[in-house]
Amino acid sequence: MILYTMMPHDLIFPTDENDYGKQLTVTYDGIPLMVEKTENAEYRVIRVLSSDPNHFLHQKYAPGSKISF
Amino acid sequence: MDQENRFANAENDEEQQPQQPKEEKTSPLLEKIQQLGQTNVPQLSQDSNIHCLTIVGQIEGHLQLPPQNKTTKYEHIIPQIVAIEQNPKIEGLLIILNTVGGDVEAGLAISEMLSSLSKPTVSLVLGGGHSIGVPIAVSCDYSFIAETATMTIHPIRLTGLVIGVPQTFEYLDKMQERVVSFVTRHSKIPEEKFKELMFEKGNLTRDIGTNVIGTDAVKYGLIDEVGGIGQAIRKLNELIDLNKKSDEQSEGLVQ
Repeated sequence: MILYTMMPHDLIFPTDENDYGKQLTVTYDGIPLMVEKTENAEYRVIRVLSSDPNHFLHQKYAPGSKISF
Repeated sequence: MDQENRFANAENDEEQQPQQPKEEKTSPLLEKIQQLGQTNVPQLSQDSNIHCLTIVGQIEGHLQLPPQNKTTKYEHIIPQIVAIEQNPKIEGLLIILNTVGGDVEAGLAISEMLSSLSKPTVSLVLGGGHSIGVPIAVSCDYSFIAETATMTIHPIRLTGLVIGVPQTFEYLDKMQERVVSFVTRHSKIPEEKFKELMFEKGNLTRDIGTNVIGTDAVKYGLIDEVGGIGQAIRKLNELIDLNKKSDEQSEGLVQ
């Protein structure tokens, strides 16, 4: 389907409200992380939000790894 | 699984008898343990004196973008800059940019925070530092651009509901003036040149403006130097040393 319109994409296909709730920002072990909830009560790391370069070297909190609270 | 458990047990046994100096013998074993992910030894080195902020994706304004967008949120960045300013252990800040631009007010807010930071700052544009990424890149004490990186300079535009009155144009013009004056104050590009690039026709397929590539950005005076991470860190360390020296001197004067 091709839409010939100047309307912005997100106005035509609005995002599901629930999608906004999936991601959250947490501080885990002193490292600010952006996480996404997975099915089995775990959280997957999406992004490390810290400004400290050392925090990016932690294998445990690398994006994609799972953490649980 | 059995093997993994055995390694783990072996390690525990050794921990119980720390008197025996067996460290050299166990090093290959320890290596295996780490590879299998059995031990989680936090190998924290001391705090880094250089912190790094990455400005990636879209610079998010007052409206939260859907989660599939990569965004830089000012509510994350601004408190981090405050913390960096306050923390005496942090001596310098490196900004890495790869952004498509975004909200003008949010971008200018980050730029103003960076330009007023008392610690040395160095920015590095990788990939792209487009539209509102330009003031962020020039807000630092020294700026670098990768040879292949680009920066799009174009006029401000508005999405959403626009009231079709002449005042809307004036409002936009004033907003643009803020960006132009910030960039010209914080870089070596003259205002005429910046505006000329901004209103150039025939360069961008669907927009007015210019796509400035690495060396051209340096030629126009927008960015200080072409370089990469090595040069950026070296420059930052240089600025940190200078900063320390001037601090010592000013302290000496007071006494």
